[in-house]
Amino acid sequence: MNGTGFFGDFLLRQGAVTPDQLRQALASQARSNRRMGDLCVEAGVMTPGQVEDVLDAQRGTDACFGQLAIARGYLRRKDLDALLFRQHVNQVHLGEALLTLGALTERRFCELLDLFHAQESRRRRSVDAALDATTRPEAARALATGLERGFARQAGLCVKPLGPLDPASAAAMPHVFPATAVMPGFGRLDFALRMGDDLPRLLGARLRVAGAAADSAPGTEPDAVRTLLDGVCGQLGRPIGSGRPPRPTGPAHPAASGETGLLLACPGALFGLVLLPLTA
Amino acid sequence: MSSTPPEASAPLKSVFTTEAATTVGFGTTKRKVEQTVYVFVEEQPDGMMACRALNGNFVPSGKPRLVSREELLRRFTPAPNVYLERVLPALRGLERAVDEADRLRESGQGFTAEFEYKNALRIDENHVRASFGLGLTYLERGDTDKAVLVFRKISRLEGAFTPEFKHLFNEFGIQLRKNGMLIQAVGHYAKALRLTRTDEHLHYNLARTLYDKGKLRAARRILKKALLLRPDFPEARAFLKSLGRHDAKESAP
Repeated sequence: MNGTGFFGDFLLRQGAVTPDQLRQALASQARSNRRMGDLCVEAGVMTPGQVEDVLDAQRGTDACFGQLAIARGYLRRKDLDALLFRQHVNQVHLGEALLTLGALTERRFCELLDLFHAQESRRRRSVDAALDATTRPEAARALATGLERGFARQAGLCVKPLGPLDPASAAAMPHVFPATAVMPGFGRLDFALRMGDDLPRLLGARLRVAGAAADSAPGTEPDAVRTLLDGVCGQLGRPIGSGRPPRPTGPAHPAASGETGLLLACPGALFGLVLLPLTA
Repeated sequence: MSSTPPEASAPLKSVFTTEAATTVGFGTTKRKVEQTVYVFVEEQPDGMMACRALNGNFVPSGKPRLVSREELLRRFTPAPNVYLERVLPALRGLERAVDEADRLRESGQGFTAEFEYKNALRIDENHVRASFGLGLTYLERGDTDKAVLVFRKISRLEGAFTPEFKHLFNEFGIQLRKNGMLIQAVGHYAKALRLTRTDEHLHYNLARTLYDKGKLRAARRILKKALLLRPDFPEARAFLKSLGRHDAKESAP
């Protein structure tokens, strides 16, 4: 396995920055990079209640905050454009944060960026190969993209596919969350997410913060994963069957049971997308 | 002895201040607060005073509001120290940052130029030159998603289509076209033409975009307008001629 595919992790592996510098840069990013709802309230164009309403709606549909706010009559296109520009201009990228901190010189940063882009090209090729190896590559691609969007919209987590799910990685992911999506143009697709212990916990915390499971007590992390999967399946098409209880263990290697898999990463955790063979 | 005429004084340019009541918060947290408002004032040739609010970085922003000298002095208190100590350095720093960003973009250092433009826009998000510069940086790199954000901002930016920025809005339109953003390019030129009707280059560039969109009749009409504005415009004449040849080929049996 070659890291998580994120730029910060790449810089650490290259020895270009220290963990402390990376932490500082990430904290600076978190301070500067604001969500659209916050900006709308700050600019006085939406109330906090309207923002909550849009965020609730966003959990069940694959649409941007601005689109939903305009559709509900909370926001004008003109204000959205101005705020999108403000959000973009004030958005600090990790490289910029590290340059500002003095952790990297501009020249070194450009060299590292070139290396990272080369690594990214290899990653994309590896992901394409893993998806092409499935029985339905286009459906698998749509599913992987849907997961990326669903994690970002519902849990605020960035997800990156890394390549094929190998036996060692799969073995480290004992929790299996099966689901079925019915996607327009692709039909039924059975799949499962395989996770270690960390990601369900992270999702549990994230979705509680987001208000999706505000009354849930600690220890109900699988509910958070199923909530997220329901959302993803709903956005992809008609959701069915994602509410099944998780199996505590799964097959040691997806290929052993005719499954093909994709290794995915989000900050702080790796997980697997397992595509189950077509059933009659 | 003849009396010498009084010397014309330089137009007023300073900062004034006033207290204003503003409503903050929503619902139960809604309340009125007194705020000190700083305005940047520039005397116009007709003697009226153009007032623009200062943003949090002490840079004038937003649409100017015209008031008479009497009204200004009645409602506002002069704050010349704010002008000298905060506004002038902020404006100079801003112009320096945009100059540096322009230099970086022209020397092909797109990513560093992007940082510099963004830094300038964090100080004044309505800065016309920085907005065009950021948009051009994205278009030169083919990043059309980000360019759309900037395009939308520019299309609503007060003063972006004034003669002062003629070179920039022409260049921006050309880059929109080259990146295949034809709808945006037509919208951009149409807006520019509403404000600057006598620029033959704008007409010519709009004609090229219309041609790329397959709207040959409209392209021909706009080219003729460009030639009315400047009959010795060789590129427009050659383009019109090539459109004529195209027509002849189309109508040939």
